[in-house]
Amino acid sequence: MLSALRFRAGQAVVIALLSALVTACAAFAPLYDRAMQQAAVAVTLQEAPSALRDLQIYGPASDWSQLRSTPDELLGLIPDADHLFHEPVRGVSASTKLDLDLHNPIVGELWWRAGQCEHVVVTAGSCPTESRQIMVSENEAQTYGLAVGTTVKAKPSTLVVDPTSQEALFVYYRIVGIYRASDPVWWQGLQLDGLAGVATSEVPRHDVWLTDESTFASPTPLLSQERPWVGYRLRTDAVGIDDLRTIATDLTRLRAMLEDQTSAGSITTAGDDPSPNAYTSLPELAGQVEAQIEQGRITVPLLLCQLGLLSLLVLWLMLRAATDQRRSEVVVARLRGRGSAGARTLLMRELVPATLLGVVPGVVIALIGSWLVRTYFLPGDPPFELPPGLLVATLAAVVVLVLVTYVAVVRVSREPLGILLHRTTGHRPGWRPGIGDAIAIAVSGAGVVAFATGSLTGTLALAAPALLSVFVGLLLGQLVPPAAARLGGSLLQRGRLRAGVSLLDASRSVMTRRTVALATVAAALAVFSVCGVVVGDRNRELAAEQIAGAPAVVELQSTSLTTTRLAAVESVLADLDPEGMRVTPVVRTAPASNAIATLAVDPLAFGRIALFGDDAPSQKAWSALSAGTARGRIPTIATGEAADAKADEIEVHGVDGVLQDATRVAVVDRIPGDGPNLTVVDLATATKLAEPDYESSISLWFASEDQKFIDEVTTELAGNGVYAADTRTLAGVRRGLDSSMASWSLWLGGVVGIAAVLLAVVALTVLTVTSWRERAVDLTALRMAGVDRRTVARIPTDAQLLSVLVGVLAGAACGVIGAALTLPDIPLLAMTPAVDVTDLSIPWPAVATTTVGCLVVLCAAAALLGRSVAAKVRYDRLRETA
Amino acid sequence: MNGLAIRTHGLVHIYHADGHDVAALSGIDLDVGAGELMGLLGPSGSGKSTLMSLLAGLFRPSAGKIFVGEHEVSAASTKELDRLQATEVSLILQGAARNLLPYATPADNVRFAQHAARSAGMDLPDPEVVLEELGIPAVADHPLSRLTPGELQLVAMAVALSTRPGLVLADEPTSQLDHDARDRVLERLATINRAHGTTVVLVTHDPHVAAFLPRTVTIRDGRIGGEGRSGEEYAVVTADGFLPLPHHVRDDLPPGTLVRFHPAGDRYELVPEQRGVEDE
Repeated sequence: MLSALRFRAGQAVVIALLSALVTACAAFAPLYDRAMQQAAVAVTLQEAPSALRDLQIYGPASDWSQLRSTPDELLGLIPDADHLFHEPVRGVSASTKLDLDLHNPIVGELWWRAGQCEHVVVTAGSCPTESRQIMVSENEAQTYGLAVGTTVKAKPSTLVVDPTSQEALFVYYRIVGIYRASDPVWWQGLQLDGLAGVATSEVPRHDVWLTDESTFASPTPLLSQERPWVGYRLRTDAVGIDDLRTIATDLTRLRAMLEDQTSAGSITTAGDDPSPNAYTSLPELAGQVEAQIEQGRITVPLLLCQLGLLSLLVLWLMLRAATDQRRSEVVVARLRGRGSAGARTLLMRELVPATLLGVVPGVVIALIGSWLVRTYFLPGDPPFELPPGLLVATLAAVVVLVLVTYVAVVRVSREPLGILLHRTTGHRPGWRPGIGDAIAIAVSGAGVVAFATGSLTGTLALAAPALLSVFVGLLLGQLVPPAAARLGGSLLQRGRLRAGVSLLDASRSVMTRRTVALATVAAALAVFSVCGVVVGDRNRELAAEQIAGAPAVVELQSTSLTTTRLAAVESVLADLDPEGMRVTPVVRTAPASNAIATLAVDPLAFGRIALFGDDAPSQKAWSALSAGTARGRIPTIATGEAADAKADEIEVHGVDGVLQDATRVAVVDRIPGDGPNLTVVDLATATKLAEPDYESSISLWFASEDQKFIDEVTTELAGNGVYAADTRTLAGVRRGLDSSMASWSLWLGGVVGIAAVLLAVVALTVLTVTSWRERAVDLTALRMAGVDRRTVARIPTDAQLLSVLVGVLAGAACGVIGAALTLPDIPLLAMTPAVDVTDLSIPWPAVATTTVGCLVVLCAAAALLGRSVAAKVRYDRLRETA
Repeated sequence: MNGLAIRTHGLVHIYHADGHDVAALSGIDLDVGAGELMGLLGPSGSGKSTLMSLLAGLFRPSAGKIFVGEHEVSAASTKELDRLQATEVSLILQGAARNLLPYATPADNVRFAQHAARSAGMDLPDPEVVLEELGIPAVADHPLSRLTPGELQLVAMAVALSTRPGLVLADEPTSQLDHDARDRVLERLATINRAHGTTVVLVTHDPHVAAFLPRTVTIRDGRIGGEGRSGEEYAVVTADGFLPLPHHVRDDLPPGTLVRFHPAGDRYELVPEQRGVEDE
């Protein structure tokens, strides 16, 4: 066996390299899939607000049960999860009603959390250490005129045992410190300050008071909504996909258990949600990751299977050439009575080790590839892992490699001895597919027909592009030689020697059939992959524009009355951008989550700044919007359900949340930055009809992501008591969409496309190396027949170029058809957007560029290889056939 | 194993090529005794190699029967042919290298050739013994690329003889060899023939080789055209009564010549008609 391998060491190396590529494709899929899963977990958890990803467990409200419980009772509810969370923080909270002898009490919360003073900045006084000592925020001290040493009174629980006692009426707290909020991550979404002086539903608020643990013990009476609390901060760097699945299951179980306790009556359920509960969105975040994983299960196998198929095709061609070279050894075996089984064993013992030699390097290539993508491509620093799928994929690759070798070997070993004794198999230009070719054509053709008739669905349907290209490639490989023979003969009769002989040479060479098939499959895969990458990129951009609405959008805090805020906004913008060229306010009114929302905008500025793309309303529609009311009806542009109404007389929500009559002046497919059902009205007209109230929110839409200008505007607004709550940018939304398994798996298409073309070059080289002698003899015979040297030198190149040209053009067509058939089933975005902006049209410039790229690379390779064959033409070649 | 006799009856073989039928053999009746050393002569394309291939069971005749020993080769199944080739009939192809695994040493090649026979339960000599018989024990473990053409041919013979077959068929075993190597090959074939009683049929173009052989059969145009025994040339009457003319009288008796046979005692006289004289 070793001596056989050594005898054709170069060939064994090529076979091993090809099998390494097949194995690498198979092994890389689970590695990449796993790395993407880990990256998806990391990105999802890192981008989720701490309030969503962390776990907070509240115990039952003590005032309802009249039993004071402690946070220690909540520890240990999550088993075996210590390594996923930081040390749990214990705490107790309660509702308070600060009584400053004003008209209304000021509501807020009182908190103790272990170690709390290390996570705020104490600007005056000290940390509370005794019962009923508190720290208040700087903002609150300033708003309500409080200072260190002040004593305030607050009402305890409304459910008191003895309502006549003084303690039942008030609890007195002494202010011992003033703090400034910091370290929001540690506080797990608890907003400490910024509330004092702000009213919700006209109820004034105070900031969070921080107190000592002893406050929540006797002699302090049970406070309203007094609840023990435990906070678990997630260690995002320690959570992998398996941990996330486990913890999500545990948390779902915990929630169910707490709900059962509540419904079983052990905990009272009356009042303002006094029951114990676990607050976290980890199960939902895990669900999001699982949805992405499902998407990855479509795209990654789709691309890698097709590359693997191409590698397998090349390996198959190589093995056919290798077995053809071993015909004499088969003859030796058969002559000595070994029979076809013995001959098969002889070939298998030589070729299977060569094929399997590539398995380990293939796995190593896959590991290196996964290291590269983990290190340089995927975010979240996914860990090195050997998923169980790796072993399965490697074993599957081994089985496939052995099967392919067997199929290649069995063909020669079964040939009758009399035929084997001929030095080479005959190649005739007619329609004469071998059994293997016929089976491959029939199977792939049946697959294409099944797909076209809708019988091939699900994951199998994803093989349609590969099946189509294999079918077309093999079919063309059978059709081109007879066509070339006919055309070549015709050209010869007309005296066009070079073209005629080149075509006849192409028709005779077995390489023509294989080159056409290879070029077709490679070009199809390259074009299909590029289509996937470009269409995915385009759709993420469109989705980002739809989600963001504008290059930058700043949502303003909704804690002050909208009329006041709008006035402040208009004043600031009139000063900083009087023409409305850089920023415009948008007032959004949606009284209920399922109601058709209304956007009140400055039509001209909004039309300029909002990212409508090709869906922008006409200038006439914008003008009609700002024309003012007619017969009491406000002009509106509608989309979604509002656009579907039969009559143009519709109702829209005014900025006060009340329905008012409107006239539809235009309908559009979508409004950027919002949901599917929307009406747009002129802000000036709408505010004349009604005053915006707390139902409305205000956002600022910027024409560019000019952070300096955005800061200037928000700072100026803050000076007027209007604060920015949240900022979203087009680039940020795009980054978010790019950081998904849908995106990462599609980018794999770029690698696959390049690999397909390079693989085709390797295959052309292999085909040339294994057939050059036969071709050189043919060409030498032409020289003997009087054809001049220059013409003979061009013949192999011309013949190769013809095959490549036909194959690449057919492959490009297959790639386009495959993309058109399959792209609707490929997940392009991590989640289905509220407004569908999907555009699956074929990216023709990219298709053309890829096709030209394939032609250039493969034609250059074909030309070089053709020249190398021509260089082998020598008269003494004819002796080699004697 | 003792030598195997060969008997063919009405052997016809037709090749189908490019829509045309070409008769390679047209009714060959041949008897070769067990333990004979015989040569097949004839010009290129006369059908010698086809006859060898049919005798070896490489393909089936279009018509007629072939018996090798007790086996009817022309009717044998693939399995029977495999067993026959493994144990009783060895064919040496023209060109020594075509009979050998290129990456294996001579000893390994012999071992490989013996594998099927050993599996069938035959007790065979070690490869070293076989190579010793052929006079090339020194090259047992040499790579084939280092052997001379003569040594290579002897290795090919060793491989063919390693299973102690009853019949050895050798196609041009001395072509492309110098005189010394040729004589060495012939001498070894004759020795094996004598020592083991192996029937040996070889194809040759070489008159020196033909002269060395006790019996030669000349194939011409797919028929037996003559036979030589101990240097004497004979014409052979076929089963259907045809008598091919010896080559050297063909110029005197061109196609279309009318001849008469006249019995003359224990002989026959062949008298051509003088067509022109008769007409006058």
